[in-house]
Amino acid sequence: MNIKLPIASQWRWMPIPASEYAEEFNCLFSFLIWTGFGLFLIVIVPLIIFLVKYRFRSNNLKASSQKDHNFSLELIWTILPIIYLSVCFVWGFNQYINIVSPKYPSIKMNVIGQKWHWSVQYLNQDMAVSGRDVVIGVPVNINIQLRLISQDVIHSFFLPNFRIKQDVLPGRYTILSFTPNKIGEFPVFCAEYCGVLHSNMLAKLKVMPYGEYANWVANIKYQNVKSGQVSITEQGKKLYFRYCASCHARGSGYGTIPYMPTSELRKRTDLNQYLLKLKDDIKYLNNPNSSTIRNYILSPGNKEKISKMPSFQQKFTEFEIHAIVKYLHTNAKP
Amino acid sequence: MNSSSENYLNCKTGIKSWIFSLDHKRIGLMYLITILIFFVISGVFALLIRTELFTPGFTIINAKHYNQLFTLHGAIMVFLVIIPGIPSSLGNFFLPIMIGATDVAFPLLNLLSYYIYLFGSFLALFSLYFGAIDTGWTFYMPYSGTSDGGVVIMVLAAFVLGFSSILTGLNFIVTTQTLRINGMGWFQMPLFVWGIYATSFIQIMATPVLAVTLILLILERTLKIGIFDPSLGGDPVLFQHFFWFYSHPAVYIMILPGMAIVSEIISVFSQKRIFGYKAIALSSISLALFSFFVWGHHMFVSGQSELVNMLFSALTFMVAIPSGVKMFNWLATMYRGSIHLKTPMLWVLGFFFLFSIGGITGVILGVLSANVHLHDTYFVVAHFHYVMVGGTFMAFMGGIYYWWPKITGKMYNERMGALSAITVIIGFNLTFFVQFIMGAQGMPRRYYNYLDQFTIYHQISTIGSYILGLGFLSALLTLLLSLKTGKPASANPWNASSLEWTDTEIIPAELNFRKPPKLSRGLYEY
Repeated sequence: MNIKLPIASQWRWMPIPASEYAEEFNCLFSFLIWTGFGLFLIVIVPLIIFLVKYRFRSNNLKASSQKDHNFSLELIWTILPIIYLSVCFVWGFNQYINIVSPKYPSIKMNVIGQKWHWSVQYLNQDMAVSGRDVVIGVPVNINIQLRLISQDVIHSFFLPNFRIKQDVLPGRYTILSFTPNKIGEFPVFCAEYCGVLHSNMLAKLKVMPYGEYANWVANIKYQNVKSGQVSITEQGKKLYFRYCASCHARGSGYGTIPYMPTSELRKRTDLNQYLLKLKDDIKYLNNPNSSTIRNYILSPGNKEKISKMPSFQQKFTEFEIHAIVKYLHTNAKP
Repeated sequence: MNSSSENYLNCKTGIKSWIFSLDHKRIGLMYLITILIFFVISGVFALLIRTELFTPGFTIINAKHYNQLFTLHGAIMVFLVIIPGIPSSLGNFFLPIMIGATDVAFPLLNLLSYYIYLFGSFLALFSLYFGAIDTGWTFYMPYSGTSDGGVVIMVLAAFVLGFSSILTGLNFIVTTQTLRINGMGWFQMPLFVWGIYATSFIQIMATPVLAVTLILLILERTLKIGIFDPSLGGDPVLFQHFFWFYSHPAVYIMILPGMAIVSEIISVFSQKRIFGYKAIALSSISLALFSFFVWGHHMFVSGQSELVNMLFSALTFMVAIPSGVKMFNWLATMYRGSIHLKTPMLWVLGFFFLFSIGGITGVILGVLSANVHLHDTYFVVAHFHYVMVGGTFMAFMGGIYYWWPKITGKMYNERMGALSAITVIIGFNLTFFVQFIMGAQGMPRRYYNYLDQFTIYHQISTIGSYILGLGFLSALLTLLLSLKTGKPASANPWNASSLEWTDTEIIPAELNFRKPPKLSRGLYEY
């Protein structure tokens, strides 16, 4: 394999940290390892001493004491662990809250996991990278927000150098965010078992200075053009005209059927709410499963209302759905 | 045959007297043999897995077969070896004797649960006919809904095995509650009985949830009812909740009996009254109770809410406290004792060494942010092997060696036994300690192929696994050899104080006791 995991040395516990969070995490981990080692000694050292000292031999044929309780001692070894464990819990919980809280400003990407590769849609750049061992370029010192979804079974997006991972579920979004502070190439593993090529479902996160990142993006776009691959919006447009436009044609009136990205759309309260939420990023991130165009495409009806529109559940891949959504977002004017 | 040499082994002969026996000792022995056979089979799978991982990419088998092997290794070890393990074999054999009973409360049910176990294991093997499954022993949806092979049959096997577990648990609860000898109150029961008793409660309370889950999985796979698979309208995380609601308590089904054996052996081989009897007994009960409230710590990155994660992390730490209490009590038991470093004690020292590492790394995994990084890496693999093999299985081996003279009337070769135990401890650490390091560095589990830089750890681990395999092999051979060449044992070779040693003959009679047993010696009195 041509991917390398940057480590400081072969026998260090932690790989090289590539974000501020990872550095903080290293502190906690060292604390846990060293106190853990201490606890181990607290058990093992007396054990060895007792083994030597109280071993059965001619001057120790019988146990020299049959004492079987000591309240204060028992109290100590119940209370002290509680204190230690509380420290561990609070520290770990604080860090956890840090990684799951959204941060601004950020670059947002859709990540789609499928057997057995990752696809990443750059929403601002309107381009996508995809395939086995895909290189995911990101700029340094800017928060990256990944919205993850799976095409088939559960995968897990794992960045060891950033000390984060998040399961990637089918049919439901999860969020992963991080801020790289180191330039370099870092591996992405799939951490949830997903079948034969699970261990080959790798990607490379390439962290670059902003200028280099811009060049990288331009280069990807150039290569896409050369190989005839169109932008996400273009792909979405194609799909829209092929599957959606016969009913949701833009500019023509079809009575009660909503024009998807037009002002008519706003008449539908659920979609309207969604668009409002889009403006309010915090709400959106905290509620990634809220009603979305994606959900609408997959199951147009709901408990209250039966829709004339058929479900597109098996029709589109996740990539295609997100392309349509992207198209609708970028052209959200009548 | 004179009456004094008649015992449960030779009182009746012929194959029928075994396979239809209602004697808890014979059933326990049949369980023990079957379980150890599966242990060897599954151990061979483990060695194949380790051999494959000696180099990145292809070494001896392809990816598909690798996935099938680790699934079978896990499924057999969990469902056929460690969960029934101690309670069904040693528990069956000794629990009734230790409380002065002639048999379990429902002997016929006991035999039935053995045959349900056999039927379940047969189903598990039969599933290979449809192609070995490759879902991992956890059967996570939606992968297990779509992968090929005999998933339905294997899941059915786990379902059937659950019934064996429930019936055994039920039997032990009734036995413990109703058949204790006169004068044996709750706090005069040996700690082994306490441990098995607590385990039984988990078995009857948690296993039905697994049964429900597995039936739902089968329904979904065969009838396409959308329960877990999102493309049918289900929720895959729901499966994980259901699954771990059983499978986390199941961890305590595995470890509590191990701790129970350790309590016995520590006291006997230190010739000292057990320290903090009540604390140990009650910590078994509290572990059994807490075990039901921590399943969510298997799912910190599954997409469940942050609040739920926080609660499960906090609850997880509560489990560490009774476990710690037990460790310290055992240590204090050894203080100022007269320690006999015999083979059973060596296994228990191995338990101490390995289980404390397993426990401490368990605390690390309970820390939320650490879990996010370590989840699904080799760190977790190492942790649960330290707990299940280093904890449960070391205690199991210790128990087998401890009670071997009582089961067979033969003493094993002490030097061979001790050497095996030490080989296992060394091999085990070599195999699994490096897995902590590579896991912390980020090596994910269930990987057929891996980055070149992890090769060194994998090679150390593989070499360690051969030593480990050798150790277990020689431990089992030592026992087998003793049947042929072992010296006859005395009735109470360890000067233990519980009824199975004090009031039975060298090998227990068919009804356990020749004369009605009496609690002449106090509990843990030397």
